[in-house]
Amino acid sequence: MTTRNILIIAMMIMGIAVPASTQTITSGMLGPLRPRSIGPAVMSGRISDVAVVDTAPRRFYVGAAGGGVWKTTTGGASFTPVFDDYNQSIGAITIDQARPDTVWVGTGEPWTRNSVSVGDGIYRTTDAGRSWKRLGLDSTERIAQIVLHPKNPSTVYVAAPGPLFHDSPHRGLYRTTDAGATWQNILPGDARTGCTDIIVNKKNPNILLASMWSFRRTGWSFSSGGSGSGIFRSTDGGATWKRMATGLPTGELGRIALAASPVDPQLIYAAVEASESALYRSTDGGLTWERRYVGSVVDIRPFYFSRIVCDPVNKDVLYKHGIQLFRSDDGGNTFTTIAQSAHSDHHAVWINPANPRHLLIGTDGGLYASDDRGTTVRFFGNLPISQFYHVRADNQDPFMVYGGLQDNGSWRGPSRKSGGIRNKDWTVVGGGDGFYVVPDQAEPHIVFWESQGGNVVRTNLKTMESKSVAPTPDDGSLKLRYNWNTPIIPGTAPGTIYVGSQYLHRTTDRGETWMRISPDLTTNDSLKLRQDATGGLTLDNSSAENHCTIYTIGEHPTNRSIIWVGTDDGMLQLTRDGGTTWQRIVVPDSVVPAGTWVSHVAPSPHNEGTCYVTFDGHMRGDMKTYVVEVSAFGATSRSITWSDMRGYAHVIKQDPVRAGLLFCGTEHGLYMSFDTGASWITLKNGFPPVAVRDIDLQPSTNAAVIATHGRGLYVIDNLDILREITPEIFTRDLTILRTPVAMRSLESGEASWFESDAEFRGESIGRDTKVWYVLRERHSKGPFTITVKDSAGKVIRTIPASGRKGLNSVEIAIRQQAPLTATSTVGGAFGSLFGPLLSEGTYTLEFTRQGTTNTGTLNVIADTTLGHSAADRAAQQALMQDLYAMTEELAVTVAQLQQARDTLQARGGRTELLQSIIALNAELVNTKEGMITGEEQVRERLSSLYGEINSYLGRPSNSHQQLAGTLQRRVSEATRRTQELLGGLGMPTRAEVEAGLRSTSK
Amino acid sequence: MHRFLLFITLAFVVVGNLSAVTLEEILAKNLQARGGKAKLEAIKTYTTDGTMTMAQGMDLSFTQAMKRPHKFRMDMSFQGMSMITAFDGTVAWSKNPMAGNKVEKAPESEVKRMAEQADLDGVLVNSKDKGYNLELVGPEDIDGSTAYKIKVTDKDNEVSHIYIDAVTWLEVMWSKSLSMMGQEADVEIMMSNYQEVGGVQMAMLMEIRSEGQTVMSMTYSNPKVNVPIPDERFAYPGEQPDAAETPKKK
Repeated sequence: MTTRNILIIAMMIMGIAVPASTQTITSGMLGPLRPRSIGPAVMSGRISDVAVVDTAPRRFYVGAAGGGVWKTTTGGASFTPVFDDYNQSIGAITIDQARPDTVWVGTGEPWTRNSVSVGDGIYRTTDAGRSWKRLGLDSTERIAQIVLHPKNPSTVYVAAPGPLFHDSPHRGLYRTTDAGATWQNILPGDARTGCTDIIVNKKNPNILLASMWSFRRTGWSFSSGGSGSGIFRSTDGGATWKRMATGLPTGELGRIALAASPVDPQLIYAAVEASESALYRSTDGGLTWERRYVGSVVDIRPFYFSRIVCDPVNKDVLYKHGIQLFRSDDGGNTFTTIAQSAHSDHHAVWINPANPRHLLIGTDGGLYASDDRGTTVRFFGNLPISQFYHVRADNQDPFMVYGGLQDNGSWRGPSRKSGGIRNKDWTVVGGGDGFYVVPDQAEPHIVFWESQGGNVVRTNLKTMESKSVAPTPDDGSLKLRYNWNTPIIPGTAPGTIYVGSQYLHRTTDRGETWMRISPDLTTNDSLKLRQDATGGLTLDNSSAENHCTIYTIGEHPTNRSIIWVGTDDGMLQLTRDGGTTWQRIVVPDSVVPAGTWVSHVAPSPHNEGTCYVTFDGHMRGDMKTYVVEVSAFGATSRSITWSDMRGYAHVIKQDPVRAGLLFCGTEHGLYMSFDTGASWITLKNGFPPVAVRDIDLQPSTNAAVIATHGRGLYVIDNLDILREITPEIFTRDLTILRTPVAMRSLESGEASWFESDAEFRGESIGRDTKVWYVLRERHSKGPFTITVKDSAGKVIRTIPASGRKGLNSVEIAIRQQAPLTATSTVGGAFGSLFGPLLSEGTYTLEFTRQGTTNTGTLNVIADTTLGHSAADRAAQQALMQDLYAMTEELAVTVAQLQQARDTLQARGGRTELLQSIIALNAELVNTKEGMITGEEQVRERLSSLYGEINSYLGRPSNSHQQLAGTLQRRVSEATRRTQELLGGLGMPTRAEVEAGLRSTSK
Repeated sequence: MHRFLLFITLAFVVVGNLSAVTLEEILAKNLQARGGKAKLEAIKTYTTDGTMTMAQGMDLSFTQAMKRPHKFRMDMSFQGMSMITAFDGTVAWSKNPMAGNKVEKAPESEVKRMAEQADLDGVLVNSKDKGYNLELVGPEDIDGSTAYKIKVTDKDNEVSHIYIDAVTWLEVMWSKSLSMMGQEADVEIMMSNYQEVGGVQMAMLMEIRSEGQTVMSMTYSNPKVNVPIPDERFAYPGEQPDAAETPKKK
């Protein structure tokens, strides 16, 4: 803890606020810097639980494995994330069905795969998710079930399997009798045995049935089963327990799923993992058991699929989760595979108690609904809970992003898109579990991707032809040792790719030939090479436990001879000669405990000898954050971890332009430093505390792409702004940041179509140009405006400034004011709703407040990607100005006519003149009443033409020019005739009428 | 140690004690900062002009009038046409040239919103009598500086939050979770550019934010108090369509 922190704590204890003058930068002071969520939701992500209000099934909550809690009140037509301030790994959600605004959420997913996250206790809302209270069980790390006492809602049972990677007493069956104020562990298990399932007998709530599970995962092994596992029964509300054995397998047991039939609380099903796993049934409330089924439905991955759900009406119908979803209609003797078009790997099923044909199904690939007991399913394409492992941006404009996801393959999508980034904008590149997806630098349609365990593939996205290009052993052996999440890293030289097994491999011809450029860089510890035997009672060798492998590779951005490598068994290695010789870098134990997994190496673009490194000890039970600066080619190392960082570290990146600017992602959030790690801030501003697995910095657009494992991808668009942020600028009254460059650009032509609410749309960037500035204090009193002036000093527009303390951004539309437009009986002249885009050139921005003025500039440039020549652009701008003037001329003429008409009508007499005025007005503007009259007079034709020219930035067509000429003649003629008609009437002058119009339309 | 002492001294002098403030004190300081109860009650009518700024540089000008008790009218000008939104204390009504230019009564849900809008004093004054329950949630960082968050529960159990700046004691933000197009979204209205009008601090800028982004802002200008306005200006004119009306300005 730093001295400063101690001081702050001392002051807090004494009830004293920290004075403003000592404030460091906080996330709140960077408010407008808001990462843009681009999803996608096309593949969605792993769902761990679903909870539905039984009496109003359009209202339900979805718990994501890594993406928080999502609520719908519309049957899933739309979802809102309601848990964004809290731990994003959800284990269990339970609604108090008698008071459905009360919802309990247990954090920490119980499906204990290698990439599973870590929870931090139990929460409750009493206002349907608007606010949450954290109610303890902080160290359980994983909560599998929450069951309310059927009569007393203050009594709640929580099944906590507990920590996965280390011994802990914080596991077992917990009970509160005071709505979460205090908890008792009423069935504690042992250091590696916790509780997974709990049944409270509805008729006699003193009868409890619980399953206990003994389990452990390390970086190189998983073990399910042990002497602590079993089914336990209490008849006194949990005071005493008996292990149930009659009819159950002898010997060690593994994970056990329990479910009671809602029809008959004595009827209980159990899926029991054992040396021979089987489905059992009890008809006496769990005292004795009968074996019903043996086979693949219960064999498969009990740690991932131990869940049974009973039909609410028919006691012989039950659903068993698995790679597929299974249903038995005969009390568990036989099973049918259902929901076959849904994504594989099922974790949650809800059955509508009022209509058992209606199901909700949560999988590794999102949420589905069925109306026919799972025969057919519908997908919810609006849950952006996708779990990326890595992300890469290419150099196209707009740049494309590439990434792989847990059980959801490899994908490519746009970083921005007119109207938002939709599910259909994404292309699937490859299947399996996806990790690194790397586009070729010269030809981004050539993409390298992989599935788990180092199966590297090269795909041509134009032809969709793929070639396996993984390195193979050069020493006569059959297999290399690849991590589950094998690094594929592009080098700076075109065509160069690195891949790590236990060795480092390099190709310079897109994977046709590989050079092994290192010896085994790992510890090659035989005790950690046991993936063939991993799983415990159920063998589970999926490559998830492959160990002693290279996990991270970093080639220096300016010196390709320097390559840093980190391994999962704690080796940090460096070559300075392109792989000829290697040097092991030892980071002192005082900085990082020896053997800690190296999760990321990021060679400094500013210094050849410096590398930023993150370490991740969570698979050894060490949840601390380790962020390290290694310098002088490994001679020195220092911790740059911040004491407020939460979660084991996954990634660090240094900005290539400003050396002090660092980004760090951990299991529970995103952090930024402006001073090379001396201090950090937690980036909030709409960004949840989600696992940040990877970050890629895109140089040409100054963007950072953030890969989260639960909330998809985010883009930070304004690295150029961040580069200007220093603590010092927060001490000045007002600082205008970088000169904004506004491109005369219209969003691309793709028309938006009628979309339902039920599809997620990733945020794109608005069309308006942002002006950024920093204020020392919140602006509270008096006007504060920004005025845009052209080079001649003419005011284009004045807009309200934003007055946040700290960073502000104001969108400035680079348009003139909309023109004065003639009034007609009905309807707007929508073509002339907006002013023309400002001409190319330099403009002045005047910030005015409290009598002081600060001046900045704004450059408006052409969008050359549209391909219009300077002459064509000038023709458009010239015609636009003509149409603008015409529109205003007509507006004044029509106002003169209408004022004269009204005056004459009031005075009476001069009927002939009045008729002439009415007739002329009717030639100029619509006069028919009604919503859809189809009438088009000069005003309407002019407005249409204005809109057409204003929405195409190249040369107007000859037809456009011709029509403009005709309209000009008609408008001029109308002005002339109006002067003639009104001569001698004593009406206000043309200039007076115009001034009046401007005062009411600004 | 010297630095420590300096810190402590600064802390006492500059800010004082943040945590010990009660809801009653905050309400009192807010009322005081606005100008006090007497000055507020002396305002019988309040009129302003204004500009609504939306994306793409679309500006709409408007005039707004309020009169005790609970009368409100806004005339928005668009291409020479006037859109009226009004509340006469009982009936909320509107007239929109883009929708047939007929006088239309607003639905019940809108009436409640308009009644809130028409309250010259605001929710925090005489809140109990108006059926609001207030609760101090605590200090919170709003845009980089501290504000006190007050939870407001109305008689229909609808919840909104009002934030009072810890330095100026003026209202800085109002937030509510609203259902919009089937989706719940948190809407925030930021209040700033306070100006003294008739002895009372009035916010001259309201920025409307959704998901942290400003989607629209309303700039008020030319504020006046106690300009006489006849009740007829607010009154529901009945179902008959009346002649097109130009905005009456100033």
